Amino acid sequence: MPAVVVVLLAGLITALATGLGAIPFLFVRTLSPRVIAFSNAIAAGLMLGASFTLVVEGMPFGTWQTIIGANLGVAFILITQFLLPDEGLEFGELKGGGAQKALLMVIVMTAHSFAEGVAVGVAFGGGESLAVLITIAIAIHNIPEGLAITAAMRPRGASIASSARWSIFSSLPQPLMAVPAFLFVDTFAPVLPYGLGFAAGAMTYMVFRELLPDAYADATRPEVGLIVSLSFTAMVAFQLLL
Amino acid sequence: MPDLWLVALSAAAAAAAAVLGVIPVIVSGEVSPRLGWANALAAGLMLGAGYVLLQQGITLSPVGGIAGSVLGVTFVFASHRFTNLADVDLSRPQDLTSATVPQIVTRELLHSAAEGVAIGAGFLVDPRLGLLMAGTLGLHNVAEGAAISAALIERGWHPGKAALLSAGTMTSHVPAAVATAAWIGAGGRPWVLGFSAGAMFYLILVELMPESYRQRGPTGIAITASAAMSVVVLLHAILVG
Repeated sequence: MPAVVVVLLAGLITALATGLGAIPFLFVRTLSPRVIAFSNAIAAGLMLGASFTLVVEGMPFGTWQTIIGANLGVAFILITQFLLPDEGLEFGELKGGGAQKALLMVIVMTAHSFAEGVAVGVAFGGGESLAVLITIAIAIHNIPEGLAITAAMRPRGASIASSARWSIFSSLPQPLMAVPAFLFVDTFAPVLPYGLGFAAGAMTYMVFRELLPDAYADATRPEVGLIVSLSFTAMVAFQLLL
Repeated sequence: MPDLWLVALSAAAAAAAAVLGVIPVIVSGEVSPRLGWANALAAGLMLGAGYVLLQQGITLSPVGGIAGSVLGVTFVFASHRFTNLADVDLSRPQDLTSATVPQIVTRELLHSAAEGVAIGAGFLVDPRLGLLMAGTLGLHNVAEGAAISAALIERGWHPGKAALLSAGTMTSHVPAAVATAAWIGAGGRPWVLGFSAGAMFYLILVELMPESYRQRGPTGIAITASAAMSVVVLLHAILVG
C-alpha cells in the first residue's frame, strides 16, 4: 500500500475512535441539572489535560512560536465569541445560547484536530517504523477527547448519536491534514508550533469561559474541584503514559 | 539537596506577600475587585506550574505521581471539610459572617502548608522552578491576604493585627517547604510532586477561579488561560530543553 494511503487510513481510524467517547453516555439516561454540572466538570478536566499535552507537543518545533500560537488562540475565541450572536443561532438541533456554546466547542475541537493532523503527518514523515504505534496512540488518545466533546454537548441538548457524529466530525481534519503534512513535511513543520499552541489556547479558554461556569452553576465548588482535578490528573496520566 | 536557606527565604517571602494585599483593604476599607487580576494571573501560573509538577512526578513514577495527586486533592478537600468551611468563599461578604476566626486560621494554615510542599517540591526539581512556585504563590497570597484581613477587619480587628494574622497564617509555607526540600528522597519525590499538583488544582478550582469569575469576568479568564499555557511552555523549555 502506498505510504500516503496508509497515512490517510491511519488518520481515519483515529478520527472514528473519537466517536467511541460518546459510549459512556449510553448509560446515563436522565440528564438532571446535577448530572449536567458533573458532565461539564468532567469535560473541563479532560479538555484542560488535553490542552497542556498539545502545547507540550508544539515545543520541539519552536518555543516562542508555541507561546505566540497559544495567546492567538485565546484571543481568537475571545473575539469569535464576541462576534457570534447569542440569539437566533441554530446549530443542528440546538438553538440560541446552547447552540453558540456547542458550535464554539466544535470549532475549537476541530481547530485542535487540524493541528493534531498536521502533527501526525509530520511525525509519519519522520519515519514509518513507528507508524502503527503512533496511529494506535492517537486513536486511543482521541477516545477521552470524544468523551469530553459529548460531555460538553449532551448538557446543551444534543442527542448521543449527534454528539458522536460531531465528535468524529471534529476529528476529520486529522486524516485530511495528515496527508499533505506527510507529503510536504518541510512546509508544514514550521507552522506546526503555531497551530498546536493556537488549539491549546483556544481549548483552555473555552474550558474556563463555558464549561467551568456551567459546572459551578448546579454543583457545589468542592464537587467541581474534586471532579475537575481528578479528571485532569487522569487525562494527563493517560496521555503521558501512552 | 537544595539550598535550604534559599528555600526558607523564598517561602517566607511568599508568606510576607500577604501583607501587600492588606494595604488596599486598610486604605479603601474593602477588597478591591482589582485583586481579581492577581487572582486570575495566579490561577493561570499555578495551573501551568502544577501541570509541570504532575508531569515530572508521573514521569518519575506513574503510581507515585498519580496517587500523590489524588492525595493532594484529598488533603485540601479534607482540610476544608475539617474546618467546616468547605463551601465558604472568603471573598464573598455573605460567606464571611458564617466563618469564625479559628476556623479561618486553621483552614489557611493547612492550605498554606500544602502550598509550602509545592514550593519545596519545586526546589527538588530545579531551583528556578522553586523560585517560580514561591513567586506564584506570593501573588496568590496578595489576594488571599486581602480576603482574610477584610474578614478580620469587619469583625472589629485592628488593621495592623489583621495584616499580621493574614501573613501569619501563610507562615506554614516555611516549615512545609523546608521539610519537603530536606527530607524527601528520590523515592518520595514523585509523590510530593503529584501531591503539590493535586493540592493546587483543587485550590484553583474551589477558590481562585470562582473569585476571579466574580471579580474580573472574561478578560480575567483570558489572562488565566494565556498565563497557564505560556508558563508550561517556558518551564518545559527550561527543565526539559
